[in-house]
Amino acid sequence: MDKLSSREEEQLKKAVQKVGLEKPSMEFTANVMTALERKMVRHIKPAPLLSKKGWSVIILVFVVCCSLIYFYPKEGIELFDQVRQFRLGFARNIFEGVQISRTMVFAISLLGLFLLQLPFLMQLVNKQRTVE
Amino acid sequence: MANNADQQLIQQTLNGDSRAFAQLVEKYQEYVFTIVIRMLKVREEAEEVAQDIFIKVYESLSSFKGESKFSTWLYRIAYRKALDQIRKNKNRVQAFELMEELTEDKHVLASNPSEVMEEQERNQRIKQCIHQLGHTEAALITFFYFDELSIKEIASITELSEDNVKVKLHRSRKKLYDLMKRQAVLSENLRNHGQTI
Repeated sequence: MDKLSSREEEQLKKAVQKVGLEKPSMEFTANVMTALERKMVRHIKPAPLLSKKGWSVIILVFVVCCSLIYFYPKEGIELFDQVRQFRLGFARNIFEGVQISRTMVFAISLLGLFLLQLPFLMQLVNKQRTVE
Repeated sequence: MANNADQQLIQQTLNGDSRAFAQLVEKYQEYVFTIVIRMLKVREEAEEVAQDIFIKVYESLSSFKGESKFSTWLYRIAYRKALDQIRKNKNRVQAFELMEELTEDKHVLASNPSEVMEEQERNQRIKQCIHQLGHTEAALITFFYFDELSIKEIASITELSEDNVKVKLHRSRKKLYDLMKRQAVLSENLRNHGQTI
């Protein structure tokens, strides 16, 4: 293939540069910024009220307190004594005389089931939102 | 100088200033759009892809280390995105529509006798010649003539070897020259600019 002479090269360069750059629509920058904003909003995840660390500390404190009360119910110490009395009497007294109909049992069971499903449903909805 | 200004805008963007990014978009939108439209040949599609390119640039901005010019990095993303789109897009109808569009434009412009219209018609014919190039050829011509990038930079953008870029660029220029000669664009161009060569 023949090489272009410098004169031909110059002609070509001038002709091509004369055309100039292509211009996108007037709203191009605005469209890009809007698309970016939309994308950023979609990526914002709802922050939990308590962090994982916070939950861990609360659970740890709760477990430690329960263990202390359960394994060291020292007599003579008023607080522990009261808790022990309460623990022993609680199960016996609280449901004494309470009658629950079968419908109520079903309702409570279904509510429990719904509460169990809730985290999974929330995960599913969040996933769908991020895919959109 | 331009590099420093770009670097400053990049830093501001990374610090959360979206207006700085809008300035980068304003500055480079025509270059990016020209590359994409020359490769894809369809305006609407090119505009969409160019928008996606800037979104991708925004998302990847933190990975830009400043080892090359920002424009080189940006054009590399633009070139790859356009290539991806070409691979995805096997729709021949669009190419057909483009040819129709160009032919229609030609008729409209050719019917107007004024000097401005003649100039526009000539530009339109040059565009038609560029449109007839393959996507890589069109991209190389755009890099070489519009942004006057070096062979090294073009090689870095296209991930071709420098020798390969030289060969392809030579062929593309020759092909474009022949197309323009056939379209009688160059003879008119000679008449206007021949004195200065």
